[in-house]
Amino acid sequence: MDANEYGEFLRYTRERVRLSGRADIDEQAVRSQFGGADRVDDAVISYLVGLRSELALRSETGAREAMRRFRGVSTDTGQPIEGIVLDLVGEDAAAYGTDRIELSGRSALNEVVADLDQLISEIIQDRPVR
Amino acid sequence: MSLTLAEAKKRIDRILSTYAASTTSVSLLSDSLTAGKVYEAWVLSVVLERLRDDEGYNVQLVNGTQVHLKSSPGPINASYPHFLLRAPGRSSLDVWTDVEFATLSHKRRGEPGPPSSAFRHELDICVVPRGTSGYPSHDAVLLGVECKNTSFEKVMARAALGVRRELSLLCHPRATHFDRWPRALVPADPPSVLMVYATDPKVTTYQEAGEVFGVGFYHEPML
Repeated sequence: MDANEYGEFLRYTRERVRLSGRADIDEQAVRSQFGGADRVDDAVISYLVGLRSELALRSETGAREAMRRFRGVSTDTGQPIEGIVLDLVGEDAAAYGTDRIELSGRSALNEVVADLDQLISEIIQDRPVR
Repeated sequence: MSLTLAEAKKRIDRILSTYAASTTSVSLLSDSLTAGKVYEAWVLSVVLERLRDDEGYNVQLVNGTQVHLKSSPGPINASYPHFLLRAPGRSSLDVWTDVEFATLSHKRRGEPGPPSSAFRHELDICVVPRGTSGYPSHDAVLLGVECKNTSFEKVMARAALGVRRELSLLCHPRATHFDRWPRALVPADPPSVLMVYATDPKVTTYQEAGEVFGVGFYHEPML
């Protein structure tokens, strides 16, 4: 892809993300750590890395990694730690229609993250030599 | 073979279709909330690990077998699941999440009763002496941690400096409750430790300025 095509791909991807109902993720990805990219191919990679990072936190992997870190901690019952839960309080409970959410992540997002990793890797290999 | 624009678009279509297919109205709402909390759980696990490995504390979850986080902060409820830190020859500590402390300004105003909202500030992770309950006083906070899984903006650094002020006054370095980690000395009276963890590496640009007032800014990527 040339610079114009990278630009079109970035616009297209951002629009698709926003249309999927995740304007918040689009904004996070834009403001991600590589947001100051000078070149459009860098901006594409920056955006995809930001998108990947946001989705990874919502994936099963995110919650599993957090749980893995708790392995060395015991409980007063002698049982291992069984999970991480989010207790919804007051207005939050009313808004979400539940008073508890298991922080187990969504397994379907593991595939999304893996596919994004592959796409990022290919774009990095393909981009013009500096 | 090089990736064409058409192929790249097709790939992103497929990725976002998979995402859309996995998304319900509830998950659409809850994703942002839970992503922040997963990061909070991650930082909590990092903090507990360092307190165990570097400070020699035995770490135990009490009052339950699941780690509980809260969607909104509040006072300490002693019956709620939390972590207990114990070490020979040292006083025991409790580790709570999503707790509001009663500020220094509340104490200086000298008003009786529980602090109103303006006199409370949230800490994502809070270490206090064992048995502390309600809204812990600013001088009961031994370690406070803020967790940010978003782009780190200057306003967040300013907020951390505000929390620092409501915990302590600036002074010559004083010994903290800890021997090595997170730090043995802090320029604060009372000598609480305040740390900000973020997924965004930009957080470290505030480290030098934060150090003057005893606020640590740390980059902690998760995945």
